[in-house]
Amino acid sequence: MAGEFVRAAQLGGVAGFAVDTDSAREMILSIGQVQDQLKIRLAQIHRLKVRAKLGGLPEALAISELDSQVASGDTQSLQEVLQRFAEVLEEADQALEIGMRNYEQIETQAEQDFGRISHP
Amino acid sequence: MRIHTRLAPLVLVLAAAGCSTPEAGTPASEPGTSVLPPSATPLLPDTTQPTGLAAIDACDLLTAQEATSLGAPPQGHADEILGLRSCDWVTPEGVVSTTIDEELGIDELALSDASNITNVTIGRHRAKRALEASGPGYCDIFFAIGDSANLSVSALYLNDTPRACAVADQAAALIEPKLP
Repeated sequence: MAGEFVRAAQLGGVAGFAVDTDSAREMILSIGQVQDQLKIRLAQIHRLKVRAKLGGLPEALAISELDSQVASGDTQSLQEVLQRFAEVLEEADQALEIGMRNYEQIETQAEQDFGRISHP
Repeated sequence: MRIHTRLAPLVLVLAAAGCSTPEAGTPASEPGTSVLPPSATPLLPDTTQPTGLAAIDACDLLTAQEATSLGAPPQGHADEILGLRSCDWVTPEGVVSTTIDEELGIDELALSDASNITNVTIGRHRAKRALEASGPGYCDIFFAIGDSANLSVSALYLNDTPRACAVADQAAALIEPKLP
């Protein structure tokens, strides 16, 4: 989905996605905070996973089993879902950067057009 | 959980001592028991003074300067889950972590999903270096601390294993001299 978001942003101009700088920066900041938390969660799952199968942490074993069962019953593990989420956030971040540049270009173009109309 | 197990005998001994505290000038009520004078050396080890891994804070394993040399912020994020004490330093592209595991030796770890495992020696310590144990972008170095404990340095840079290993190797070299 976010891939579509990036492609839409890359279209640029009127056809593309554009977002004003202040809003984009706010969203990028929020995405960054979620990304940081996500990295910590992935690190937590990883350290439990490598200590789950053979050793003495039964709770970790339970989490490992949950990891393989979660995510609506398909083949994706909890870890894979979170990794995919991280990738989607990264793409959303890229799309916002592009959308912000698009917005600035549209603004600049509009100012130039207005200048030509005002001072033909 | 481990601390409770260690403290249990001490609690029992203290409870028993409390029940048999003698009056001044009277002998101990039970044959074979004794009450230590205040100045005597305790027979039990002082469990309030942690030694080895127990004395280490996972976030102290990298100084602020060392963390920034890895591209991470000076302060890590401390965490404890299921007895594993850890610290995560989040970088713009990934995360570097230290984990203290007082339960498992490095040969007991579940690394069957790793794409590559090598036995290495770093400084004074035997270690295992595991690539992609949880998929592309994961790199771990597990230091052996005796036969039944380990301390790991992990780096996660999603889908970029070489980068993760470069960071993990650098962090491991910084941390190894501080290990027991």
